[in-house]
Amino acid sequence: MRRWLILGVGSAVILLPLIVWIALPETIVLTDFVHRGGSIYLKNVSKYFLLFLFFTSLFVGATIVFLAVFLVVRKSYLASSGRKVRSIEQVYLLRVSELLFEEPDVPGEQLEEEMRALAWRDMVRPRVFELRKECEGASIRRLLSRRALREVLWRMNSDLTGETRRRLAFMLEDLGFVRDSVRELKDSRWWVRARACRALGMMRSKEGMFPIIGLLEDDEEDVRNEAALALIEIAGVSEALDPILSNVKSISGWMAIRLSGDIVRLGLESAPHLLKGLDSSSEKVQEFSIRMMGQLKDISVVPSLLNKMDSLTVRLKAVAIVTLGKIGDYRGQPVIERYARDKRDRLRIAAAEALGYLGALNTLPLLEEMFLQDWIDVRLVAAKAIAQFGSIGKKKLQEYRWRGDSLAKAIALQTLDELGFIRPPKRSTFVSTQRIV
Amino acid sequence: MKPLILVVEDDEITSSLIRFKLSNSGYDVVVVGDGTQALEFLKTRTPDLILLDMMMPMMSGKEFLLEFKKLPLGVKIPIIILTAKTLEKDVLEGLALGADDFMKKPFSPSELVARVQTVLARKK
Repeated sequence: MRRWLILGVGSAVILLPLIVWIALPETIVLTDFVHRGGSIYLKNVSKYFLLFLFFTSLFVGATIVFLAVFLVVRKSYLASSGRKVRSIEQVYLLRVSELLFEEPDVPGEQLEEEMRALAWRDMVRPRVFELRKECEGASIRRLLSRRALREVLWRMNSDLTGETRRRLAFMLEDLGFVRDSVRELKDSRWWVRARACRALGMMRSKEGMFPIIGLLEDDEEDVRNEAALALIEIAGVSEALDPILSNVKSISGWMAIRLSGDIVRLGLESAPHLLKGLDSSSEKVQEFSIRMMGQLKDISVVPSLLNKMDSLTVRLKAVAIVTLGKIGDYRGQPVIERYARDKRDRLRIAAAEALGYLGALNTLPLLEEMFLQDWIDVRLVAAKAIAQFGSIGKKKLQEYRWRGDSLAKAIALQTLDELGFIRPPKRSTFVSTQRIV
Repeated sequence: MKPLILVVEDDEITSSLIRFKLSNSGYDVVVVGDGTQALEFLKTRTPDLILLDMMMPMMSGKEFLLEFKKLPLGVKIPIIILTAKTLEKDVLEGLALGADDFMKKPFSPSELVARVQTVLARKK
């Protein structure tokens, strides 16, 4: 884009004085002044001055146009130089492999892994800096070399674990690739920031961690997603969850899916981090944290969740009520029962659902009350909750098929049908009554 | 004489890393790009161990193992399979088809050498 802008400006610089010179000579102030009363000397000066101005503009404009064309051609060449890059990659593959597997010559006892990696770094540093010098600079050859070297290192990075990977991380830092990506984190273009996050995640450099945490509050969703992923790559799920849930501006659906898998794998260890998410300023982060608490069913979060209830919005309260039901802790039951009588429909619906998850027999009368007397949406949810009480719940619904108001009968029948408790009649026998399984 | 290891791996970065590490650890290494080339190689030389990637073009690791079993020297050469993290079923299939050990990718080269040493020691 910049190249085209330069091209445009250059063309304008060439054309403008030309247009003025050819089309509007009479309006030039100097010429006019000369006609009215200036001397012959002044007339010549003005003419030569204008000539000078014209040719200077022409020269500057031509230079700008040439520069723009050069940059465009250069960029095209770089983009299409894949084959050249691959041949350079072969060379760097050998050199990097030699460096990676060289062992520090340390006499005496065996070093710990971390210390050995540091000893290796000191040993190979001069040669790594040589590599760096080969790739620094703006010439096409050096740019291609840098690209090839980076490609080799990134691909190795994804194949390796353990000490060798730590060595690779050191190489990436010493070669300046980490620094380049950290610099790109501040770019005004969102796709550059996102790409830089991804690169830092791939390089797993701890140097990039703190700048990436700042990007969790970025305005662009893609940047936030890449930043979260990068943090997980660099620090691991357990370490990354805290900064993610505390700082992220908002959680997208995609990020929620990605994080939920990691949280489920982490298990109960993630509960303290989810509590941090509960205190987030973003409602989406709070909602995500509350829902995940319900997935994990960790009773240790119940006190914090109960304390937080009053300060939550109605929507989040509803989510929290269902979560309390899913967790199934006795401490949640009085709160759920209280909300079962709340004047807000949304909260009563959530309470009915929660009572179904809770499965406490002493709450069945309350559920029946909601099923028989409440508003239709609440009754539908209450019916499904009753069905979760196993054979007792099924029996209750079968009773309500025949007693209660017409709506109760219809809802009971629908619920039994949805849950597969009603077998449809055989077509060949034309039986008009339905047999209940 | 150094033990000979046949590496059957199509990715050049991975095969280069393995070759370097094993060579530095005192092994002779030959790298081929797929199962077909590996079978051709086995007609001329007998390696002490085979490192086999499961995901390859032309002939996959599983197909190679099936063909390998039919060879007369099939029983004598130990095999370590290399597989990506998500393809656990490949591990189970490979072990069922006669592989002696497996390594998941991404892998630690040091761990790979340790497994090679263990498998070779067991073979002796």
